[in-house]
Amino acid sequence: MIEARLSLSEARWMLQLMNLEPSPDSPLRDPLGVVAEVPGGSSVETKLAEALTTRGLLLSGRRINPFAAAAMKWLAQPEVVWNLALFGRGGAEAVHLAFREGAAVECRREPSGLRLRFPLPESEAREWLTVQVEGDRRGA
Amino acid sequence: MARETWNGNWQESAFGRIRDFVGSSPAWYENVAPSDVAEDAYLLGIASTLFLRDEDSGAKPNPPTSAGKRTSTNTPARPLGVPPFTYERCLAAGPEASAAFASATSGRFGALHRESAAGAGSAEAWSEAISALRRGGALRSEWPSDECRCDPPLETFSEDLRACSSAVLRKSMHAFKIGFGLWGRWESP
Repeated sequence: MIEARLSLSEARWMLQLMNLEPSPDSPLRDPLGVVAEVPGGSSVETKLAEALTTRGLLLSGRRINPFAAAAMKWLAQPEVVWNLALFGRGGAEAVHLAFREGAAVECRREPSGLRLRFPLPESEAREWLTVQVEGDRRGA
Repeated sequence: MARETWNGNWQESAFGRIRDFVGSSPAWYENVAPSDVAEDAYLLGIASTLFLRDEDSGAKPNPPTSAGKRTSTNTPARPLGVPPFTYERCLAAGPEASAAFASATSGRFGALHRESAAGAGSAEAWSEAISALRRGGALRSEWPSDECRCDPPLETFSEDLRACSSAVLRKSMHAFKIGFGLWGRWESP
């Protein structure tokens, strides 16, 4: 399982590099809608590249790690999205599951940005499905 | 000045007696007819149902009807999630990494792995990408579990008691609101 934390600027820049735009139902559309595009060749871009390289999400030659690229593609252009709101002690947390061909990427919004976990294992998908069905049954 | 009278039916008079009973002595029921007591019991019985949920009343859920079943049994449900994949075996290029890369390319480990393998292009680049993720601390051996995801239990007795008391108060206020709403009509002669 791969876990990656991205700031909104980093996610925006990765989409820029991949030449992707979030689809209307993408969980990235709203959070990245308020982030300006990163100008090419700027010092901001250099800092973003360094930070992503440190975390293994960017390879030499400014190539996006193919696993991170796949996850961003899943999130930017999903086939199906489950949007779940988890209520508990400490407030509510929004969790988005972006599906393509049965595989899913989990995206959680955090104060510092986004936390991605992928790919969703079968056992976890079954559990999420149970949560969703139980929630529907209870009228949630 | 017009004298206001209370023209009520038997339910309204029963509510009035209940209202008076709040400030009266416990011996109040000794001076009323058994039929009045029966009326009050009838109303209290209805009011008590406000505190019940359907699942508490002993009612059995309706059996699933055939109309709700999935009719197309030929199409199997699409599997969700991907089978577990051990990234550690792909850290160094070699036959094992090549075999894992071939499996991922064929889609055996899900569409996301297939996409990433296609993006890598070769087993060496695939190993390099996984190694970079490991160096960056992004690889996890297992999916972390979220405790208390669906229904977090109450932690202490005091919290339990407080939640129970607030629920009883809330339901009582709801019952009073319904009672005052049913109180009746005032008519001036």
